[in-house]
Amino acid sequence: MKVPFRGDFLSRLAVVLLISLLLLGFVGPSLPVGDPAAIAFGPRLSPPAPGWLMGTDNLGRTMLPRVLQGIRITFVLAATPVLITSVLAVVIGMLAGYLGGWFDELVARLADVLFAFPSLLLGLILVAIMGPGVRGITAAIILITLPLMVRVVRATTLTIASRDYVAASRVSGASLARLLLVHLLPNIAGAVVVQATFTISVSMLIESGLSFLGIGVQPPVASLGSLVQNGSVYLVQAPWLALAPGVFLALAIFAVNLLGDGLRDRLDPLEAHGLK
Amino acid sequence: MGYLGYLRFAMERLASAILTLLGVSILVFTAIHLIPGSYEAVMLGPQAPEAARERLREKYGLDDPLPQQYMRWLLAFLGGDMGIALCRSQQSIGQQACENADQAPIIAEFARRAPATIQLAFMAAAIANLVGIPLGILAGLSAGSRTVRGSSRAISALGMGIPSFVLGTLFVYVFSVHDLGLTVGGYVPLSEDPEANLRAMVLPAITLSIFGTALFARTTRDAVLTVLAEPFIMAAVARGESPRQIVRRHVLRNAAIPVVTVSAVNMGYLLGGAAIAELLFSVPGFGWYVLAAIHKRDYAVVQAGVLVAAVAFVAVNLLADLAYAIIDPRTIRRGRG
Amino acid sequence: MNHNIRLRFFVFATVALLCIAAASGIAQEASGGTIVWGVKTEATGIDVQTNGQSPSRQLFNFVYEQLVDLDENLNVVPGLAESWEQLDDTTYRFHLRQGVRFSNGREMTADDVVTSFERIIDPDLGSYILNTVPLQSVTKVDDYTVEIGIASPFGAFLSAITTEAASIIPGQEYLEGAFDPTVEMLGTGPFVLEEHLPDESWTFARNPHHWREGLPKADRVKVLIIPEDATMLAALRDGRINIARLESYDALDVLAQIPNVESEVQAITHYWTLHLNSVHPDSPFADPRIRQAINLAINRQQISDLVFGGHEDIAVPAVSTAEPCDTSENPLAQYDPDRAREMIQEAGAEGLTFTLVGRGPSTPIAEVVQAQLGAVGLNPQIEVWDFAEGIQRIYGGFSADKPGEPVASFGFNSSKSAPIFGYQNWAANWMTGVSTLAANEEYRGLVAQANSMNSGPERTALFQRMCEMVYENASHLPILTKGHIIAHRTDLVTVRIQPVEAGGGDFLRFASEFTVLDSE
Repeated sequence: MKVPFRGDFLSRLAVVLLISLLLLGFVGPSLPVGDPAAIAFGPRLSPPAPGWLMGTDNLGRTMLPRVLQGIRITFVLAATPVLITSVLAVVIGMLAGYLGGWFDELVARLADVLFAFPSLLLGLILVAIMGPGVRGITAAIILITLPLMVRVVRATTLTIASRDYVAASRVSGASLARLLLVHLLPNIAGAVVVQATFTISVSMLIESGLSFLGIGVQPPVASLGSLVQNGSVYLVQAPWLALAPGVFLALAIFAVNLLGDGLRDRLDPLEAHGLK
Repeated sequence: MGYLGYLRFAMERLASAILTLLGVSILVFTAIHLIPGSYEAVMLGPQAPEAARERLREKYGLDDPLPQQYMRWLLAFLGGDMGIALCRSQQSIGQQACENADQAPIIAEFARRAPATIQLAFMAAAIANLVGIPLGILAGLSAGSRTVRGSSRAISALGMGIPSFVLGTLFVYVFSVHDLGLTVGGYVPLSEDPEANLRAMVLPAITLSIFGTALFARTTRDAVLTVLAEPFIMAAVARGESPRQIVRRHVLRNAAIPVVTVSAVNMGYLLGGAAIAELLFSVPGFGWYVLAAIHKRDYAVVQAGVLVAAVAFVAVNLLADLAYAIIDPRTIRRGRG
Repeated sequence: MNHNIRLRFFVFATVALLCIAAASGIAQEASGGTIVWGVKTEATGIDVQTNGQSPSRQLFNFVYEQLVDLDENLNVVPGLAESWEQLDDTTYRFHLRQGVRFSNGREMTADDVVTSFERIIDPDLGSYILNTVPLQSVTKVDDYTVEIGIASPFGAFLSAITTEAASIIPGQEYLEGAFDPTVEMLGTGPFVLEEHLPDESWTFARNPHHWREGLPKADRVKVLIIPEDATMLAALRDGRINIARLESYDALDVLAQIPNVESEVQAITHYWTLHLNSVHPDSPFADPRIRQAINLAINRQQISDLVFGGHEDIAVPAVSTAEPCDTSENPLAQYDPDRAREMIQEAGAEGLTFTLVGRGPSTPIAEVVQAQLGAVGLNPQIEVWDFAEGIQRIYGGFSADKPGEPVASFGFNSSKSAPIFGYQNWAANWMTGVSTLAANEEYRGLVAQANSMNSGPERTALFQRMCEMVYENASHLPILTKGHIIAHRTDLVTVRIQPVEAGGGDFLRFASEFTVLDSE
């Protein structure tokens, strides 16, 4: 893949969008855009104007740095738990799929139980236990997204493990670790990456949903979801407060989804055509 | 295949479902008791004397060991008694404590609120099916055109990407500022006044249906494409079957399985998303009721609510599995996938 | 393909049909004599004698009444009692009005008053009124006369029994078991509860036996529960509701643009406070200089401008009552960030980090205060807690041995119907886990003394001293007043809403006088 996504306009669009968003989120705040926490910087609820390019919120804070910060927070809050979930799912799923037996049964059962639990309620309860803020949200996202990832890893493992060359390696005395790491892992990596990408967009939806219900990151720090929630109170007088973060949020999730589609077509063509 | 084989398959699935539900009940019971902030503190507030709090704990057996409380609750639940809502109303969130006095049986409260949520979910699912599937078939059949292919991918990525509360908020804004015939809020039961009911329910239903529509469209399109690539389609064309016949006989039938899977996923989404739509559009449903109960530490309501939702979800999945087995008997042999 | 076309047509037809139905529907509602009122939160229970939460209390005024009432200046006037005497400093005799009937038709007599008061005097009931006034006994003298005894002299006794907990319930039916106040409402008030759909609506109908001539004017009151402000505004705009109580101060600007709507911020004797835990051994606020500095660093006017659109006033103890504390001479009660910075340096507290807790509506206040305290060298970190969690963690085990967590948190205090009540709250036992003022002998002594006195220059002097102590101790900082935002459709109803009320539930006290206007 020397030229990524050659000939696929949409996937290139996705990459461009994502890179722009990441730049905005991670580099943007270092530029002289203003202090996201400075209250009464401008008159409250002002529409976009030279001093405050995205308007000001109800406490007079300029929105531009807050939205940029929001982009960064949203990405970090979405990606970190997915990273953890992926690692956990790979380990658990591979072992379950490969070893089979009671371990596999147990893992499958636990995944079913978690999966059947209504996700919003699961998120709320976890945040209630662990407290709102980064810890609670991360734990919630991990537990909500883990079952599906485990299932995908396990299913892929089952398919690969039944291949002849794996059996051959086992017969020739390879250790478990070697089998898993050298033979299985590279082959399931594609499916894992695809699933992880979609999981990032799901986790953005979960995080913004929980922020909308008021239990996301703690003020004055805000993710795009909590910015939309704050803005929705002032929708009639100051629609830009909710619109700007809402648009960025939708763009971010949109871009991740497109990227996932593109990766799926390339890395996991079996899944792409529903042949799994 | 034989009815016996199918029956055994169905039994296995049922047993599996029950085990899952048992697991869910244990999980929710444990989880909600881990939340800091106790029920009696919420009920009585800081002003009440310690003795009053003690009495409340005794009254509800909140001092008994957890496994005992769990068994007691489970047995009652299985007998049809979902317990008593410790808090009469759940809608007030924030600074309100709740009073113990009027104890409403949970099952009655659920029954009262269920119609609104069921109607909402049904409407959203109907829209998703009625709009999404035809769109997906269309996109699949016209996939020769690059524009159609590209734009259908983009649209479904967008549809699955807009959070429901963003869309919902937009609707609330547009329809509350301008008088366009559909109301925000103002729910009345369908039996009472169908017009007012639909006027109030159309907006939340549309909000909830966007994700599902995109999902169905994408899945159907993928399935159609896959089927069209199969050799037997070529054979059918060679046999001289008309496009309509091909679509009806082969495409629809084979595309059914992924669509059934995705119905279950959509169901899971609706179970969660309904609560947010209910909040935004003031629909007095079951979802919001259970959500608010978490704030009140109303253990009984949360347990019952989670379990009911899980039952619904598991039931839908079970039906989906059984449906697969009919459509494609090979799945029975393949076992758990 | 056909699906889509048919679907579209169906939607269009339905919408068109609904528009027509809507137009006719609105015209009918207004002429039915129903006051429709939108509120944000559902009542949490209907036992008038124990439920102290304002969403419930606001409903009680439709159905229940008390021996005495408050007028527009929060002075005590006759209610169900026509007149009264104070026999000695712990006994009061009330002469009941004759011909007052409960909504079931039976006349109210002294027996009902006795049963009602006996119920609230019983400590097992746990009524909040016992925290305010030491009721001890009630005796029937004859069919229309009762005597009520209190354990110790209490100057604000009459104000105290205007509260909803002192409502008169039908004694006979209660004792027979035919009336259960925890699940039903039955009183002498202008309306009768007709229907309640939890989380949706309450409907009250005219009480045909109500004793006030010609009242209520409306046939019905319907209370709709609408949690979102935007929906509430939409309902006000289309006339689905004719009175609304809103949360957001910014809604006032939007309301100004809706034709035929009048809105106001009604003051109640509540005010926001910031609690600084001074009891916990690890409290960052152990040094009173730090607490006092925090008070000096808070710019209340800025909070009012940013969070409340400038509509709320700087709070002092007993604000909005007849005798608010005069803090003009008190250097600890001013806005003085420079002095605050000095005091923090003296106390060696530069860069002090602590948790600042916001709960629900106080969260934006927390954000502003965080910035203001940051400007004087402190480092507060915000955490948003929910109600249930907050109670346990902030108040702890309600004693000095089991203190609450060492945090700063927002809450509110209320002077209810008389200045003493606000001061009294801070001497309450359950505050001892939060503030050293609650266990302070001098303060408690002053409160007890002021309780027993009637109004006059001596009592005013006591209030003044108590107020000084509040600012010296600085564990409870009064911040801003907390009012109600009320809006109504001038073309649909006429209302009587007082500029000041004593409690969270009282703004529709005069609902019986509201009239519903016909639409032409």
